Amino acid sequence: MAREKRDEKSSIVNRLAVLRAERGLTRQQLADALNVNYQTVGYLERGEYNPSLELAFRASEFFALPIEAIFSRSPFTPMSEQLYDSALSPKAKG
Amino acid sequence: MIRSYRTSLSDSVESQANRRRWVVFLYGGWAAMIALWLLSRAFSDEAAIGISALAVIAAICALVGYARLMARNTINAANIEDDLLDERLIQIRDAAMRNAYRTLYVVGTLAGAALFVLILVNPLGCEKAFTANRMFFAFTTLFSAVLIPLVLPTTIVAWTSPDPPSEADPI
Repeated sequence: MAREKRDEKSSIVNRLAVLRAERGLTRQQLADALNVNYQTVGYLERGEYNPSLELAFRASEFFALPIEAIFSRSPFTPMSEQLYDSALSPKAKG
Repeated sequence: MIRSYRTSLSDSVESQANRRRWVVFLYGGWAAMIALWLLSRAFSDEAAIGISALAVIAAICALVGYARLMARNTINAANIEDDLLDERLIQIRDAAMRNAYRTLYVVGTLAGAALFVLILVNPLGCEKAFTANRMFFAFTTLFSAVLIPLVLPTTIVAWTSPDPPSEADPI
């Protein structure tokens, strides 16, 4: 019970699978870039493992994106939806 | 070196069901060997030889099971050093070590208690004279088996932890 509570509290979602697919990388290639085992990439993508801060920074540097664009404590809205919203925003129109 | 080893670990995946079969094979072989060896003592010499041969086969099964698990590097993470593992595998290894320690602690305590009884109470009547030496040996064995493992993690932390930062440290 206590473990379930802790896991629930610490669950982090990420966009690693989307970003990897977008760049046409295999798990092994991403694993080599992040200096981890390729299974770790798989577990990260499935949300079954939360990265350390150092690994999160390495991913951020590799994808050249801020950490909050890759990892979040609440579910992400789909990237396509975000893109559409930002394209329709007044700032984008202006 | 580190990277190549980390990546080579990736080839070593088997399904959980399959891994569990190997674990059962390992412990099953070991248990069968002990059971057969005990059984062989109850029979005639000729039968005992046959049963002992079966026990050897069971022991080989246990060894094959262990070798099979050891050959799978990611599964063998429990025996690999930090430098060769990534952070997730280090967590897995540490959890395995923690659980193994807890299990061994219980086994060690029971073995210590059993030794204590064997040495002090001497139910098998191996030695008739009750001596102060035997009593000292019995208590030493019991405390060694129980106390040393119990305090070991605490002593390791006490020995290795650096000084904590002080509240009064300047910013």
